[in-house]
Amino acid sequence: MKKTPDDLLREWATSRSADEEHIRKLTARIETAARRARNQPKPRLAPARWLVAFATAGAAAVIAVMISRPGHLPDAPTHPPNDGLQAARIPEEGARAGESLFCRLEELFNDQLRWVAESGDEVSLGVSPIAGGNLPGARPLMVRLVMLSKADSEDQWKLAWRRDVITRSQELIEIAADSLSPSSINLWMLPVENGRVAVETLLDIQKPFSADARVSALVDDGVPQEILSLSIGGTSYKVLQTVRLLDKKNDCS
Amino acid sequence: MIDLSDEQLAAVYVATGEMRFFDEIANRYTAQVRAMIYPVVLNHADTDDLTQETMLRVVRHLPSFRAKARLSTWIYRIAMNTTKDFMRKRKRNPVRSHSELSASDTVQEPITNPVAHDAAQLDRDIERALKKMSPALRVAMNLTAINGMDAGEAAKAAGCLRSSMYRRIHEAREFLRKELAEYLS
Repeated sequence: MKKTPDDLLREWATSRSADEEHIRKLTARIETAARRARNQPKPRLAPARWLVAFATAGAAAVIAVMISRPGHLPDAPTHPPNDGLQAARIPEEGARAGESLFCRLEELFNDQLRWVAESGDEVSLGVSPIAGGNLPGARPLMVRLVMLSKADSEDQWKLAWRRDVITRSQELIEIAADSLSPSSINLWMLPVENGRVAVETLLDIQKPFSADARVSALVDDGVPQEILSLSIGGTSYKVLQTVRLLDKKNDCS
Repeated sequence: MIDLSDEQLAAVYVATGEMRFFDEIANRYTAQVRAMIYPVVLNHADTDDLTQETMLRVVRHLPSFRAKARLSTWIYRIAMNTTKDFMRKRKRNPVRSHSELSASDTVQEPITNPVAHDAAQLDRDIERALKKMSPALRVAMNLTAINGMDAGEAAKAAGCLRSSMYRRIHEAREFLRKELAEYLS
């Protein structure tokens, strides 16, 4: 019978598996290490100064580079109104600034630019080493991701973090940034009709709790959508995303 | 043997802090986690270390485990993240070739007949092909072809979109078909 690559891999994996005695010893080693770790004080995490990011887009590897710059896209208010939705909205001037930024970077990197991500005053770029790959008619889009938190005894939602990503429609992007929240962002967006956008999002959140936020949805242009909500230790958290269609500019000024 | 589901074990460990409940989780998952890591790193000593590191992360983060998820998926995700961290660090040092592996890494079996020789050659060719693949493609084949997950479950474990997982599986199969063509005809 003709074998498939999957068959060969399965047979190979079986031949390379550890025997019961090896697993028993390894399990005992783990149990000992777990007890030792539990008895040690927790190490303090050092703040990361540099972002080491890696991403892929299509079959081409993408090199993520970091640049520092003064604030460009308008910040969300530090004290958003009660529901926190304002913090997730992308104001008109923010969308225009995003268009200009993406346009200027496209001029610099031509069609090797895959995405631009911003957190605070740091910007990371996904640049493919291989030119080409842009789909004809691809349209720039911006997505704003925010986490809000609120102690159960308070009324006011506070902004925990915000990430903005600008990319083109149908780019399959993966942004890893261990030192930031979320520690990885996977996105795919496609404008459909009547200002609606199909979006698939997966966020890997590590701080202040560990969780995945995963959503596939049809969203309205510019309307914040709640993608995660939970309460831990007397504090409520929610993660919102807003997708905004941008115009493709011919003149970056 | 404790007669509780995985998720119940996790909840009881978090509530009581008694290590015997974690020991049971380690008993249930060490072999599976190890089997998930080896095809990606292709080295027995590193696989053992990463299996231990995965299970230590599991015990450290169990209080944040949310019971509506499956414990198995959550643990596989931690295993794949731990492996990805390791592969990133090792990126500048490519995976050692089979002949460079230490004695403990290599299955030392005398090759005395043609069938055994063919099998050993096939194993070497599969490892050579896997080493040429990117870690992302290796993870995709590991989760689906070897560990039997569907694309959705594999995407959760790998921390990527389902569409990315489909693409990776397709690319990896195409690559393996070319690399292992002589064994597939």
